[in-house]
Amino acid sequence: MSDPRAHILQNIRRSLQTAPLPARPNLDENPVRPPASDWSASELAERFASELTALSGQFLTVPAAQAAEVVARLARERQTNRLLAWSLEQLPVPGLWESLRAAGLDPVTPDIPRADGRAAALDDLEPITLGLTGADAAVAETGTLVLLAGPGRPRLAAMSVRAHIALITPAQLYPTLAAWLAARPDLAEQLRARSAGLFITGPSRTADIEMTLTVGVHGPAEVIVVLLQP
Amino acid sequence: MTTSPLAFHDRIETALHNPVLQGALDRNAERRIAGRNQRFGELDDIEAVRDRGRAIRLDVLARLDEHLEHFAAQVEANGGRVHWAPTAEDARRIVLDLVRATGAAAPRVAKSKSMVSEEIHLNAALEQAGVEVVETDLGEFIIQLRGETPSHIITPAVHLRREDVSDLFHERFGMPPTRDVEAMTALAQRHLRQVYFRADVGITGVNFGVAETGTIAIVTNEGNADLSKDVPRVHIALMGLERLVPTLADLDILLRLLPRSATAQKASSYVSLVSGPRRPGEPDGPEEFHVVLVDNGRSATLGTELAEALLCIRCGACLNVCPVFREIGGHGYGAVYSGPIGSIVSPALFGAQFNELANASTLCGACRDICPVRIDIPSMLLAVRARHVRAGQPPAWLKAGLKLFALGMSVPGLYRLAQFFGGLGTRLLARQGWIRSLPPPLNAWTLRRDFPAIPAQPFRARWAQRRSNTDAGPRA
Repeated sequence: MSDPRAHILQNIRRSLQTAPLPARPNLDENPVRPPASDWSASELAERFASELTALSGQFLTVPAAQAAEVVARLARERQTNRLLAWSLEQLPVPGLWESLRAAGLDPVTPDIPRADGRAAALDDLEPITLGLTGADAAVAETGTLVLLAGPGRPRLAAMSVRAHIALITPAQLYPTLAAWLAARPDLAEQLRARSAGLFITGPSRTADIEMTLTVGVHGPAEVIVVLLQP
Repeated sequence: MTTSPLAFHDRIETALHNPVLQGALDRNAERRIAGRNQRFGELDDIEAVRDRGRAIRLDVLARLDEHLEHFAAQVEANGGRVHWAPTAEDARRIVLDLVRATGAAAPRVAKSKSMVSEEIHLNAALEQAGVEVVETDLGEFIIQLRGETPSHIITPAVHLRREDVSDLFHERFGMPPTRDVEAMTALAQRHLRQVYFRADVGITGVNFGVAETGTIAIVTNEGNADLSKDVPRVHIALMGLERLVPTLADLDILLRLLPRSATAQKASSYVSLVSGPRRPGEPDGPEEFHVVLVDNGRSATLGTELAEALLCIRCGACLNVCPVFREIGGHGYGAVYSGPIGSIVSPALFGAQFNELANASTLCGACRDICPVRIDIPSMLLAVRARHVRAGQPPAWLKAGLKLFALGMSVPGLYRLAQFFGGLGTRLLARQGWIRSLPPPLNAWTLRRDFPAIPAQPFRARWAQRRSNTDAGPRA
């Protein structure tokens, strides 16, 4: 078996000659509903908020000008001033970092070394309990945030912290994931150019012990979505 | 390859006499089925979504070679590496070589849940080679500490009580005995956090591979897959080679079905998309990304009457709804894949010694009705039973008995004779219409259920009587 790839593909092709696969269902008779498009901006926000809060996530609507103030209050309530954050240009509020620093916060966008020093850099991030990100989309039907990785966008900001604050804008609200996919024909190209993406629906959860729901197991225990009104 | 040293009947007996397990299985079945039905009811086009999901998976299988080649080319174009593993042994060797290539003297692996890794017995192989491997899904973490295998593909520790977990954490971590599930979860969370941040390699499974973009999707609720793949320098993803969808839009369709069927959620907490290692300019993420495509019998299964089982998206709904699984649980099957679909996948991938699992079915069809991609599980269970018979595994008395039966059924006089004496005999042995015990070997039946007495007036006689009565009067 010198070339396992050729071996496997050859096996598949041989099997396909005899594969007794059942007939394909007729999809024209019973089509999937097209993505909803007639939800108003306030309906989208309401549905997103109700889905997220049903999962014990939190939802706030604030004027964009108060973004720094709200983030600072959330940090104070959680008794921390260090933030694992997306870089300034990736966040939907101009000048946010300066305002956060003025409020006594210490936002950090890491650049983990690719070889030496990697472990030390990760050790430095591990204790940070609060994360701050933007988002690429917010899906109303399920209360889901969509985050794509990229320059200035540490993925750990949404995953290795205990509380994750996501700042979103009304234009980022979509009724369904299908609607967002349809609105982003460049997405396949984007996903090839970036290493990762993440759909987040509420805080992390488990029911592995006696099917008892527990929130906050490895990912954040709190997901706080802040909708910024212009 | 079996996960238990006991024979099938002994495993069943053990499960039936375990009251804790019986309670847990009942709770699991009732809650999961009710939740799944509620979630399906919320989507007015759910039947169309199921049809579409089935069509997507059928299209993938019908051109599996092309989709695989496309997927692999895209992964490599994105900077990932694809490894083709014809057998379980190949897959273990590939993973071990990749772990060793990190150069760590005592390599550490943070591992997220993967049924393929269970299937190829990866952990044992890694541990034997001196690699420390820690399961990070809470349920998997618990059963790894106990040296067990998963008893359910979605809730692997469903067979345990909180007291069992408390005892385990007391013994292993000195935790004071508690009934507080939150406290036990918090302890595991703190412990495993150190595992992610110390690991040289993260190993995850794959729920779906998207051929269009060379992206893998990993679905979890705990976020353990994310930390396992985002923190360590190397990410290895193990993937059964049939787990593809052509496009991102197709992924969206299957993501509507999977969490609703598996855990009664509209969406799982996390769907992680990975398309390659960390790119230039990105602040974090793994430097290496490897996809191990595991065949291990799948390409051969594609050419058999069990090919449809390869549509499976591993939601576990057929386990929850199965009256047999509900009594014996995952360990009862003694195979990595349990329940109705496991009774097909296990003999398909691991061989004839698992054919007997297909006998543990009432053929009630609940699995086919609940399957999000409408896999015809009962028909394939019959196909496995047919294999079992063709392989000459049934005992001689069964063959002789069936020959006798065939003779009786084809000669009307013999049939009436058998009916007369059978009726007489069973009525003599029965109390209030039921025979409660018989001598060996007939006690194989009465040990587990009663046998009804054959009525004095056979159906044919009653039918003839009914016909003559109704013919006399007006039709209802």
